[in-house]
Amino acid sequence: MKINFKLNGRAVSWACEPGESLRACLRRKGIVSVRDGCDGEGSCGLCAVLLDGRLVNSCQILAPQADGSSVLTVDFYSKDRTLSIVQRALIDASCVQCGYCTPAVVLALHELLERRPKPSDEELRDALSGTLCRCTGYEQFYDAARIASERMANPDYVVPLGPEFRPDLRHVGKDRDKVDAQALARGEKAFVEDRVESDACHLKLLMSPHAHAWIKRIDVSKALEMPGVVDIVTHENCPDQVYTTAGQGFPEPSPHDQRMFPRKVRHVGDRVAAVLAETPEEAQAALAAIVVEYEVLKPVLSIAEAKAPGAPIVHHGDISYVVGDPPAGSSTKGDGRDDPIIYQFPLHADPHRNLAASVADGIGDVERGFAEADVVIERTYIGKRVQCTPMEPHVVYAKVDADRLVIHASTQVPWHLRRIVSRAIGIPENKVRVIKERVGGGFGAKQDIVLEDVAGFMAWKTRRPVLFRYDRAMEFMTSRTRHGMEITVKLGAKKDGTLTAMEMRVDADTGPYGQHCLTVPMNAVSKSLPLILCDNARFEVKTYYTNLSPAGAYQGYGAPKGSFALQGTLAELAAELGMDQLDLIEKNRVRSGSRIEILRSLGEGRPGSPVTLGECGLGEMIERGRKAFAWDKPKPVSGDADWKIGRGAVIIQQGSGLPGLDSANAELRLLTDGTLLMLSGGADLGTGLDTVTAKAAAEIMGLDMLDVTVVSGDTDTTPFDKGAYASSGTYFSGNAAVRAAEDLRDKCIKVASQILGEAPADLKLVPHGVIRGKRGEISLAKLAHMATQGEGHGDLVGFGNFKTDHAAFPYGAHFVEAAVNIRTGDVRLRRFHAYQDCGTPINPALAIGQIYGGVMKAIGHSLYEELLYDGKGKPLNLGFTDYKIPSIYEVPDDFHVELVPVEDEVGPFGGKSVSEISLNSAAPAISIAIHDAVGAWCRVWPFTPERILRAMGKL
Amino acid sequence: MFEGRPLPTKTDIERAVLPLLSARADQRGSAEYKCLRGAALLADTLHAAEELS
Repeated sequence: MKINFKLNGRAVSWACEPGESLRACLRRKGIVSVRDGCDGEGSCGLCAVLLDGRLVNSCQILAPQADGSSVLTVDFYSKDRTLSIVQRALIDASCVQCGYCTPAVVLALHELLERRPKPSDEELRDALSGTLCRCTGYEQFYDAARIASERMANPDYVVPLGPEFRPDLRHVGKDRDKVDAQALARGEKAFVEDRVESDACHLKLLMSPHAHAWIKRIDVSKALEMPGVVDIVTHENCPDQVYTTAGQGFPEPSPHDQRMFPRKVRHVGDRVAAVLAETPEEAQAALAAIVVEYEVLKPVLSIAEAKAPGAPIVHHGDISYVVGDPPAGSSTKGDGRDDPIIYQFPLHADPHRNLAASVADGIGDVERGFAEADVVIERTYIGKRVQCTPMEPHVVYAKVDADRLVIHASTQVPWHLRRIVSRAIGIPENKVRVIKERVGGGFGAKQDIVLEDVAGFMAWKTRRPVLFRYDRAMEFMTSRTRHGMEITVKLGAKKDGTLTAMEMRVDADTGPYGQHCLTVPMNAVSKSLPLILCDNARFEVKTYYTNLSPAGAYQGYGAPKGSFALQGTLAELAAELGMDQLDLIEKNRVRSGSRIEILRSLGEGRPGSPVTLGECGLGEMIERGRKAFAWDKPKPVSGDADWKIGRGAVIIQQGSGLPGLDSANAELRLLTDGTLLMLSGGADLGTGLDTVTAKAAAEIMGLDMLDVTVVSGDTDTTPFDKGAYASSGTYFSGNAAVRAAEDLRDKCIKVASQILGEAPADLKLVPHGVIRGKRGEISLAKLAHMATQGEGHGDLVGFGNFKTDHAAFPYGAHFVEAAVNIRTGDVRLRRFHAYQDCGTPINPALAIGQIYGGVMKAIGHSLYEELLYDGKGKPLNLGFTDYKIPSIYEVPDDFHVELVPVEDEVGPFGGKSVSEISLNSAAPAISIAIHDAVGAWCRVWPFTPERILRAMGKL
Repeated sequence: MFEGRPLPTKTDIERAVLPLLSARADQRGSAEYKCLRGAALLADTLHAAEELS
């Protein structure tokens, strides 16, 4: 049928199907700014448009309903590459992180300001209540609304400066536009789906309905005959390789235990077959025609079941080791039917007893320490599985071009992706090019090769372009979740609070495959124990295979659960001792100059070494929190008898990349007009890494940010980088950019020295891009022109490589004030303050936004997010309607982030990591606050109202 | 149940209502919890209504 309406002010007459959604129709016509995070459920709000001036979800409107109407998308506000007041305000307030939700936010704010030029906070909350954002934590949206409102009244309004750092530097430590923010705010083509060509085929996955079953027989003959079907792949015709999907440095500390299509399915949603067809509908129809006969097995649905004697075994195949021998007493001989497992090196595993990995170590004499204690307590804390939920689900577009496989990916690890996919398919790496597009949120889930192997294989095999996109249900079911963990902490202390011994025992559930099975649970220990000084400490980590959804990396990488258990038990110890919990922390925490012996035992699958800490800002951070919360005075009292108020505080830490393991590279080219092209291997996920590398170049080369263009994460055109994980972006990729810029600066000075006839020591590179000597000067533009025009110097290009053995720890002290309803178990966060060290904040407002976003995710994990399963291992909550993530309504009433920088001697301009650490605080701080309010310890996260009422003895 | 009488306290309303409620346990909560929440909701609603009137 034909519909006539006005699109962005112009009359259009389009053909559409009667049942086609307005969103689908707009996308089909090339309007890419209507994003999709919920597959038409109407719960994410990212496909918003203004229909006759009203904000609506275009996935909930049939295209014919737009007939005769006016439809505005964000493109209306982006004519001629301009920015509207709202778009500019969102950039000024650092609200554009991954940018996937930004077009929807732009429209929501325009609609609001149109009817309420001076909106209240409540009106803003209402306007944005239907728009989900997983990156920002929403707090800076209030700033954006205020800025836009002021500018509507006064276009010359100047935004007040935020906190600034490093007065000796021009760009670093000051807020500058995120380099990709304008394009994202305009809703331009940026993401994988925006690159898909019209001849793309569509891949659909047949997923296992059983948690644990052999595939006895599979018949695809009828499906292959169906219209539009290009090819079908199953375990019978996929490459016979096992690999890990974990995007880690090689050799990976994760077992190679996954075949592209397994002979035995190990979780509901596991791969059974994939159909490639001309249209999504044809692929879906063919899936229904595939006949599969299963031999259903008893599933393993918990850690307790996995380690029980006689438990069903998740993996039956042969176990082998590339380096080293199997642990004594472990089983290695397979049943001849299941796929093998190959360990790159020993992880103290015994898969035939469901043990994927284990490690145990310690320092001092722990038994003596407990014997010397006046008080010993032992508590078990449980962290359930939570989902990363990037608003852009996993998506890949793979095609063959010039006899090479080109993969447009939404990934955190372009180089690991290339390595893993090339091995999985059986082609050399030089035949594979990975182009990381803008990533609509990753948070760890996109550190794994979740779908690129199948899409790459099918594109390579069929020579057809392949689009493979997870829907939201698949994202919940077969993407990567945070490991379920049960952590028992035992502490011994003297009456004055001095710790005499610490013990942590971590049991983790990796699900059906072992990606990150050692390193995530290990991080629960290695990012919590080193916060506390104690001569006697030991730990034990055991990770089990189960038949629940695959676990993997998630921002914080195990640390949030370790922090929950250790900080919670410390608070319980304080209560036992009759001490203030913050005083107990203060007595035992690390401080400037501390020697952290426990790090000797905490290498990533290799020996670690103790560290003597330089300056530590924890004291200052704790002091600021104490003062803000008037900690030494009685806590506030609620005016409502139903609500009780409590407070909690924790200290947290993270790392800054993996010293001794990872590396990053960058290349900086001087172009003939004196501008710069930064080729960075770093993978910017919306965190602002490209802005960090641009700043490094502009700062060192004496130029402005607009003089630098960053190309990053393309395995053909940019140099190797380990990828975006382990809080390594700023520290590793940023440092590589610094070194590339320093190399280019030195080369420029050397060439200028020859041209000017002055000694290099007499030359300085000064703003704006001029090399000045005692007698003369030359601009970078002229220098580049001369160098490239046959003066004999060649292209001026700087190279930077960074690796280090130096460990840089960001620290934080976070404070919570919560109100708990004693009749319903509801929790309201009245205050959340994060005092945070990230070294020199390279871009302060972006750093603050990262912390807001991290804390907000952790608040969701702490209070309501949890993946639920039925008794057969079937996931139950597969969309945002049933799995709630925080909206703007859940933002704490007083949400405050304050940077307390302690410069690192190795970090770029003194910078350290910033985002991951912020997830480590909410669970312990809120649980401590709940106890302070109602006297009940909540040791299972999330603290749902029902769990709180049970802890209070009301149920 | 409360008609023609001064509105009881929230606790008394909950105590009176709780035995009358039934619920089915699912992933959203146990039957016991749902009944408790139902009683609390009713008590809150009646008191809010009284404040409005």
